[in-house]
Formats: sequence, C-alpha cells, structure tokens
Amino acid sequence: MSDKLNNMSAVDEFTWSPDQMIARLGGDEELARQLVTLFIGECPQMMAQVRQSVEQGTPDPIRRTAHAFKGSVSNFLPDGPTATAFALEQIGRDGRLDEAPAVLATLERQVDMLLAQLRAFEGA
Amino acid sequence: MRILIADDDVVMRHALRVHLERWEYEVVECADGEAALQEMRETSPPPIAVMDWNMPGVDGPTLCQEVRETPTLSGMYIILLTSNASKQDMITGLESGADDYIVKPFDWDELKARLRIGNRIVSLQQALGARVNELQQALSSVRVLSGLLPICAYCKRIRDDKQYWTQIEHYLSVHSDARFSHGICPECLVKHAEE
Repeated sequence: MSDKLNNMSAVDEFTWSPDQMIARLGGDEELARQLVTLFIGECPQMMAQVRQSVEQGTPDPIRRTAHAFKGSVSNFLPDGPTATAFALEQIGRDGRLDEAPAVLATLERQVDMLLAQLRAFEGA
Repeated sequence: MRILIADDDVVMRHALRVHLERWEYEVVECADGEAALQEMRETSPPPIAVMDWNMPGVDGPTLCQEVRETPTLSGMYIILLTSNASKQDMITGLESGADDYIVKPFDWDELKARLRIGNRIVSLQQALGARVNELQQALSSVRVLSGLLPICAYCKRIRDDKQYWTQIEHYLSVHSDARFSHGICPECLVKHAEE
C-alpha cells in the first residue's frame, strides 16, 4: 500500500461528501456541522503529534498517533486521509520507518484538502 | 438507563453523546481510560459502557479486565468501539472481557441495535439478582425452622431463643408464615366430651 501511496497522485483524489455524512447521521445537519467544527479545531494538534512521531522515527508512537488520527478522520470519510493514516499506522506496527516520511507527506496533502472542504461546508 | 462512554477522540465522543441522548440514555462521558476507571469505582457506576480501545493511560482491554475482576462491576455490559479491525484484535478484545465489539467507522443503527441487546441483558441480570435476593431471604426464614427445637415431652410447648416456653402454635406463627385456625379432632372430642 505504501508504494501505491508514494507513486499515485490518484490517491490524493478524494471528495468528502457532506450529504453522505449527514445521511450517515440520520439527516442531522446540525450535528454534522458540530462534528466538522470540532475536527477543524482538533486536527492541527493531532497532525502535529503524527508529524513529531515520524520525525522522531520510533515505531510505536507512529503507530499510536496515526491510529488516533485515523479514528478521528474516519468520522468523515472511509478513504483518502483515513486510508493513508491506516497505512502509516501499519508502517509503525511493522517498523518500516524509511517509508514513513513519504506517507506522511501524502497524509499532509490530503488533510489540507479535507480541511479546505470542511471549512467550505462550515462557512456555507 | 445510564451509560458510560470512554473515548479520547472529541469528535467521536460528541457524536456518541448526541446519539445516545437521542435514544434516551443518560450519558456519563469520560475523555480517557483513567477517568473511566475512576467513574467505575463510584458507588453506582453505569451498567453499560461503550469504550474505545486505544486511549491514553488505561486502554479499553485493560478496563475490561478490571471490570471482570471486580465483583461489584462484573455485570457491566461492555461494547468495545474501535478501529482495530483485525480478527485477532477482535478475539483479544472479547477475551479481555468485552461483551461486544464494533469496528469504526460503524453504522449508528447497528450501535443502537447492539445497545438494545445490552440493555435487555442488563435488565435480565438485574431482575435475576432481585429474584435471587428474594429466594435467599425466604431460605433464611426456612432455616429458622429447620434447626433442633427443644419441645416439652408432656405439654408440647417449645423453648424459644429467650428460654421461654411457648405454645407450639405461637412459636410457629412467629417463625413462619403459617397461621392456625382452632378446631377439635374426633379423638379429642370423644375424650373431652367424656370428661
């Protein structure tokens, strides 16, 4: 999966659908907006922890921080940054540290894209 | 019914609270395993818990083990809600003492249905516990009458715990639910009529 993430720009191509999220929440748009606001607030700190763990280059913190981020972002979509965070978690679990920086870079790009979409929804 | 939620992800915690309150549960919210452990040690902890696996401090499986090793909490119904999706994780989670295991992301209707199972099991356990208490109380009153009773060989009075000799019907009415209606048997009728 990590090779795929390194090489494919297509992995960056994902779209967050507010309609699908609202449907998953039983049609509760207000709750969807609350969750979006909470995630936008929490995301920078969570990503900082992921970044720091990759910079430190120790497997278990990479696994742990990527897992925590995956759990949070999976509230919004099953693919894109969720799948990449899972790939990073696996890298931490397997100790394949040399692959971590490239996957982190993909994750950073995807998170920026997701945040832009979430902010657009929040401001709509 | 009260329900404990333990998850360090603020987004998931908020979504859980909103849904559970909509389903008419009374939510006790904990941001990590340590806080959940503290809440469980309170005098009346919630009978159902929904907890994440990976949390700072005390993780979900450790909490499950703690619950199962504590007699006053052993009836707690626990759902592990986690993004650890492998079969081995599921086995480890259930073996740690969880009653159910749901993988994130999940369907809210599925959680609602699984909670209904937990609710039913907790209600059955509570009803069973109350019935066992009733039976134990009944058993203890039966034991009062199953011991050795000192009875007078002539007048048939019984010596009670305070060393008083009392009529057998009085003794039995005090120590059981039996009540007496007085009559005369045919033999006594003949004997006493002759007198």
